[in-house]
Amino acid sequence: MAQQKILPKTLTMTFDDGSRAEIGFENLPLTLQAELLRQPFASFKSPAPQTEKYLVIEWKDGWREVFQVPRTCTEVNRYYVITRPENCGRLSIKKEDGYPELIEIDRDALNLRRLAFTQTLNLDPAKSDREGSKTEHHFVLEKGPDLLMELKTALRLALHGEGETARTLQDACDAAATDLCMRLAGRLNLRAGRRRQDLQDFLVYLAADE
Amino acid sequence: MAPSTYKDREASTMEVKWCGFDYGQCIMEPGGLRNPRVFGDLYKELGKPELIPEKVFKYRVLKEKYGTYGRIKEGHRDEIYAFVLDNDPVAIELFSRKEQELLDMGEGLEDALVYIKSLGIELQVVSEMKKTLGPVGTDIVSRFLKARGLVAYFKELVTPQGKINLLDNSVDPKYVGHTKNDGTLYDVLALELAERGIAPQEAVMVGDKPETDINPAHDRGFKTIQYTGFIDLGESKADLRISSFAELKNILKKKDA
Repeated sequence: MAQQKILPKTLTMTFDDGSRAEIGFENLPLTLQAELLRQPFASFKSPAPQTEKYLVIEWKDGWREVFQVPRTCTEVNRYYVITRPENCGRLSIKKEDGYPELIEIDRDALNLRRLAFTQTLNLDPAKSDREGSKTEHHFVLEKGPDLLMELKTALRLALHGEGETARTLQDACDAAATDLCMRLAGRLNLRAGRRRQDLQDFLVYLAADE
Repeated sequence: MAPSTYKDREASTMEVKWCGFDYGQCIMEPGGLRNPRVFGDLYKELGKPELIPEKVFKYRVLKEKYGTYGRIKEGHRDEIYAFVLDNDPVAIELFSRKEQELLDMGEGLEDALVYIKSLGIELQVVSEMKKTLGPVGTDIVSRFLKARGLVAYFKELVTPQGKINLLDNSVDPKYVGHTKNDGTLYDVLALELAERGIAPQEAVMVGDKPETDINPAHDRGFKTIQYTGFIDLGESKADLRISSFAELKNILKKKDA
């Protein structure tokens, strides 16, 4: 009988100020669980390698790769390749260390109107360069009306509409803060791009001058 | 623009009194319905952007279980809700809304409809409506037609669930249980058109699927046009094949009474 694999129970993170955050491993998104478990620090050898199941793939050039798959896998279902041109936006921001911050935009990348960082920039298509099957669409960035100021005004109105104040937003914590932020964000048509906390922090930032 | 492919060059124009359009991959094109966009927008709107990769991945796993996204939506929508959306009612409602928002209209369709309507040719949507859920009248097809303003051209939707009046949501049950696939829906349609003095050869069906839109209609005397603008499903009994709805403006003429 195959020996049971050792499964992680909790993930604990210790921060440089000494604080800690802990979460049940199974509460993490599945893709993150898989990503963590493939890191060397969390990859333990199988207690019984001979009872594991493995997939081996060989390419026409002789290259081979092996994948351990769950023991519950039974037989190959199918294989297919999807070929489609994707529009992937790449927004780079200069950094002091010389290595730019790269933000990949996968949502409707050709249709960005403007962005706000140190100033607001309008985006307009400039030229498209084709290299084989790849095309790069370049945009000119021109200074435009202040988007952050618009958002500050909109937040003020949103707070008024919710019957709340900037102070409430700054002082709210945990569930109450999340709930308020989601309602305010809805009024601003604003969402977190990749990390939900970014949204809350940004709203507090916007409200700071109020 | 000339019709792209002729089976019979004599038939480069068609004189008709009635024109039926299929819905999926014809009036409605699902090309904009991309998983990263659907689940990306959905979970950002829910304030949980960290879940996007997992949700896209799980939906792709479902596709491997059932073969195509179409099959999931036809018969296993409950698994989208349970396996992918964790039965979260807000996520389920948003999923349906995002599906609607990201569907496209066939290119050149509305221009062609304006032309056909101006000729006085009757227009109806004839849909198998397999992938719809929800009460008739608020189903995905009706919602799409209403949201895109296509009720200006199509007042009725003929389906195996009945003939739906898109203006008042009333349902005429005479089509219930008849399908395009077995052809009996076209039998009922032919009888109904006959009551208005329209013979099958004075009616044309436009669609992409040979087995539901073209061949059974053709076998019952309807004229047929295979639309390949979104997907070319191969050989059929169609009288004509078109790759753009704009071609209909050169093909269709009003048959005098």
